[in-house]
Order: sequence, then structure tokens, then C-alpha cells
Amino acid sequence: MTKDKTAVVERLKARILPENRIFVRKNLAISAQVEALRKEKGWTQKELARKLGKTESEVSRLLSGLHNLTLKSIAKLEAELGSDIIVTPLEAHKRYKSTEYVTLRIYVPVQATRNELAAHYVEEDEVGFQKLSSNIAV
Amino acid sequence: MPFEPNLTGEAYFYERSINVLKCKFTCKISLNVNIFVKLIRLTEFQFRKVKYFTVKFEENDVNEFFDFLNRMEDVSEISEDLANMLVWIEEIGENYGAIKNRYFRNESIRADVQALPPPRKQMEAMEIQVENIRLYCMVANEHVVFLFNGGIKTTNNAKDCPNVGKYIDQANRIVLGIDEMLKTREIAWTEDQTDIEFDEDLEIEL
Repeated sequence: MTKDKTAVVERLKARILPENRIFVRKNLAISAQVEALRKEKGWTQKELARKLGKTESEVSRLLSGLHNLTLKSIAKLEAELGSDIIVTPLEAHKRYKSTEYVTLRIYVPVQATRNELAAHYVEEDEVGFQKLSSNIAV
Repeated sequence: MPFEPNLTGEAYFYERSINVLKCKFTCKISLNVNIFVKLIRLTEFQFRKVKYFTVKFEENDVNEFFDFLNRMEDVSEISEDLANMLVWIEEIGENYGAIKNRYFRNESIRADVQALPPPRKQMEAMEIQVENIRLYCMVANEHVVFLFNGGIKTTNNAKDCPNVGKYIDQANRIVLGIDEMLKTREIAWTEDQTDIEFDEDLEIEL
């Protein structure tokens, strides 16, 4: 029986396994994380490639979201960028569990909006900020 | 006297005092046949951040992207890679956007190191690469991508590969055609530049 060429997308989508989705999603997440860290450091793509001992083309392929990154490659990226790219849920729980929250009480005019209150705070940890703002006495 | 035409088709007449030799000209005639493609919106690939399109040659029964998928479908060795590619197209479309230099490559398309990069505003063909699979495309902006054709690369230099080389040339021609249509606004951007509008009968000349 001749297959319907126009229905090829449905046939191929039916073949997609959960591991395909996990592979691509995590791959793209890693790529996005590397990109964020690169920008934070103020490096160009060329500089990142040089630090990794690779060509720009090789780094581009590594971070395309489709390359099968090895743990070794990720470790090298983490070492050069000086920051985690992958953190397991267990590790994340240990790190955030030890974060201390400090409650401050401030008094502001009743007309102030929540956003105006927020503008007075500089807080790196978003979770911590939310915790603080909920303790503001108006 | 014998007649000897040269490669340009000119013939030398050797005229004797009495008889004029008739010579037969043979020459090569090259026909430049204009090829037209229709622009197709891939309805299964319209996502939050990217809208995907393709083209269809008049004489073919399916569009170029479907032709690629149909040919790759039955190659068992690349089944997983093909699945990953489809998921990737979806993820880029839904969550990331078509960021040209991060997710799309053109090194093998510009493999000729003598070639200068195109002028800044000129579009160029890009490629999506999964292992040995190559799918050629055009990234008009972060929200609009045209998917063309491709195959399984079997040589170091993609341009020399019998499977994909012709699709690089084809992609480059289609890109020029689409770029021209964008400039003349026969393919028009929406106000927020996240989509394009065009007449469904629009034909792009290659």
C-alpha cells in the first residue's frame, strides 16, 4: 500500500519517544545556560571557543541543542565558565534550604503600591525577595 | 576542402574558384527555463515564537520539507536523529525563537573559504544539523523560518555530497527568490514582524 506522503508528519510524530523530548529540552536548556553565563562574563562567542580550545564552528555545533553533549564537555564548560550548568534536584534542595531569610519591617505611606515598595529592595534571590515583601507592614 | 567548425559554431568557408562549399552549422543552445515555487505555510508547525514555512515545486506532489521527511522516514539508522530534529523544531518554535547564530549554522554552506560573506542585509541559506542529517532552511528573523530540503551527508564537504549538495544550491536559489519577494513586499511582514502574509497563489521565480 502506497503511503500518504502528506501524512508523514503525523507518522513521524507518533514515533517520538519521551526520551527524545527530554534529550532536546535538556540540551537546549544547557545551551541557554551557557549563553547566559557567557554574556554575564562579557565574552564573545570567539572568546568562549578559544577558552575551550575549540573553533567557533565546533562550539556552535556543541550548543545547537542537537549535539549529544558528553558529561566531560559539560564539565569543561563549567570549569571555564566558573559556574554550574547542571544542578541536580537534590543539590538544589541542599543549596536553597540553607538560604537564610531576614524579615524587615518598614512603614510607608498607605498610597504606595506594591511595585513602589518593591523598588526599595535590592535582592538577588527572587524567592527571598518574595518572602520579604510578604512581611512588609503597611 | 573539409569543413571544420570550431567550438563556437563558426565555420570556415573554403571557397574554390568555382564551387562554394555549403557548411552545416552546429551550435549549442542552452535554455534558461524559469522555475517557480509556491510558498506554503506549514500548518502543523505554527508555534508561539516561530512560524514555519516551506516551498513546493509545481511538478512535485509534496512540498520540499515533506519530501525531505518522506525520504528520511524509512532510513532506520537515523530514526532517532529524525525524531530529535522534529522535537527541536518544535522546541525552538515554542520556547526559544529562531536565533540565527546560536541554533542555525552556515559553515558548510559557505565552505568555500574564498567566498565573501553576503552583504549584511542579504539573506543566506542556513542548515539544521543532527549527526549526518542536513536540513537546509532560511531564517528570515527570529519568528519566521522557511524549511527546505536536505538529506544524509556522506562526504566531508557538504557541497561535494551527492545527497545534499544539490539541496544547498537549491536552498540558495530559493533564499534569493524569497528575499526579493520580501523586498518587494509580495511577501509582507505583519506589523509586529512575527509572521508573514502572502497571496496563496504567489509564485516565486528562481
